[in-house]
Amino acid sequence: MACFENMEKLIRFAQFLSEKAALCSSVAMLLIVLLILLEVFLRSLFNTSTMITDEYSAYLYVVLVFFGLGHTLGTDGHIRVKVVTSRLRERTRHVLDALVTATALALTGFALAFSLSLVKEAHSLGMVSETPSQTPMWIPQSAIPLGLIVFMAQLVAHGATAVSRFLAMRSHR
Amino acid sequence: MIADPLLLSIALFSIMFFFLLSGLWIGFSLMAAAIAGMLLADLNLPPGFSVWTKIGNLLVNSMWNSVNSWSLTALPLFVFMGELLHRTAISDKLFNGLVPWLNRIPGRLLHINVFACSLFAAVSGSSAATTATVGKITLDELSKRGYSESVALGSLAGAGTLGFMIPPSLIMIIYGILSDTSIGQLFIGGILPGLLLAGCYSLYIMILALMRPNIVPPGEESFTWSQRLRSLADLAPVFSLIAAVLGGIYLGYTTPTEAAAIGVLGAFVLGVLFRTMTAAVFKDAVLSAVRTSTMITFIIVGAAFLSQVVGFLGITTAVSRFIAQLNLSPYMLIFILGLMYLFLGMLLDGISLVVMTLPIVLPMVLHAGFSPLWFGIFLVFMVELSQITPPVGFSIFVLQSMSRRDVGFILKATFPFFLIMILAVVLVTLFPHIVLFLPQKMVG
Repeated sequence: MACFENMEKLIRFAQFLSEKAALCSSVAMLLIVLLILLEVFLRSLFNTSTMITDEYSAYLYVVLVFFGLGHTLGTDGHIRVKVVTSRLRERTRHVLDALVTATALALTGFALAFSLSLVKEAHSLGMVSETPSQTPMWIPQSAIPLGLIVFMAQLVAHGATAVSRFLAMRSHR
Repeated sequence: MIADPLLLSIALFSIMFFFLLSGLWIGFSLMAAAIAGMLLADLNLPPGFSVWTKIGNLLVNSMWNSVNSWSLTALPLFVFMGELLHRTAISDKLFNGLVPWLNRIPGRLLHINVFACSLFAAVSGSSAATTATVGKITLDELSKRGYSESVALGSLAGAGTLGFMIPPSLIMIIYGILSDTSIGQLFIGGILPGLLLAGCYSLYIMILALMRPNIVPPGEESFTWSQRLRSLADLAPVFSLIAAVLGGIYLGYTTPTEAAAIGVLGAFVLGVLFRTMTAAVFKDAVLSAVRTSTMITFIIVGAAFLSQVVGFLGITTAVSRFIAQLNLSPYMLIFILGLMYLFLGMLLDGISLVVMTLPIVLPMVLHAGFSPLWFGIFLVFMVELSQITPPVGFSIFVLQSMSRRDVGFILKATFPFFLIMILAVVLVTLFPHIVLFLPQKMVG
């Protein structure tokens, strides 16, 4: 029973993390809109430019996407092909779901490790963008590992749900 | 270890389909297939250099480079605009504004889906959003008035897919970035093919209504010209939004990404004017847009990685060379590709269809002498067809949840419109000027 309680806690924690991250994504989306509108406004009325709109919109888009991954998984927003799996027995489907989630988890962990070294390298080499703003690259790039951590938490929760459903069905029998 | 790139490509695609069918999320399936391809290939790496480091570097670089893109930023913005519009009273306005104009045409209100979808597609970037927003009102109203449900559903399915063809279009944004084609030109190039398709749908409905008068209820509502003119007030918001978004692109004043931000503002203002915008509605729209954009972008990330790997392993050149050896005529090549897309479109959604096939298909098509602009529009047609082919067709899913009818009924209703779409593809292939005419006239 304690195992189930811990699982509940874990799932709730992942949900909490994803929701907060999704909030960051929403803010990023609104900032992109405001930044571009400001640019268009400045250009049409004062014939001048923010100089950073295209660059920073793209950074914010990175934030939007990577911070949104967990929430999208939690709300079943990532699509998958269900032609085969929907025809399987429910028990088999839960096992397969757990296996597939483990694969996804391994891929995300792999990406996390390399994205951390990407950020570390950008930081230690002092890499900056080739634009007037000369933004240190490690700052926007950090969005990738941070978002992937949230994504992993949500993947663990997803896998745990699949396993617990499978176990519940077995004990039911 | 496989040294032959052709054999390697077969292995890679088999592995990809294995993961896809096992229910692994699409973005992950593409990544897994790419990694498997790297591991299977005969790489002559320098000593002390691990293949895993190479894979990891390729993966994070495609993650960063594919998303850190100003052009692709148009995608979340158009999604956001669509989510905002979906939550305004725009569907009612479109319906009320169009009804007085349709009562004299054979088939009368059965044309409402075609007209409303064509107009809404000009402010929406996706077919699912167009189908859902227009169908929200029209399906109920048509059945209440006694119109044939089958024609109503079929025309909604067919015309709803115009969301991808008539600009703005998410598919065109993605294709434009992957193929290095101007997104603005693609947008403008989609207008005539979109109108051609809409025209064919309407013509079919007219012929059907003349042949089978029972699909239209008896008794005719009549409208005076002053009523018609007043109804224009209902259409004014849509037309001004279309002008604001597409006008700037056509005149070369805004980039597609800027036009998208202006569209978001416009959709928000309409929501305020219609008094449908509340804090809760707004929050809901933002979150929904975040989810959809994240889902689509994650697939793009997976595809960007896969396409890096496919290029790195020499698969692209090998397949292109193989196809060139077959000495197919250009039309034969397009015909075979069309069949392949129809088949893949049954299993995959439109976006995956484009991003997965493009790295291999595009070089072949360009080699055969087709323009990338024309092929972009051809691909959008393929995506539209994939929206309405079972078992995985997004428009069909949307229709199912709205009409509560079974798939068989919906498919039967959709089939004539499917055939019309094929006819439009043939026309556009024989007369590429339908695509190329307007972009050549663009300013800037």
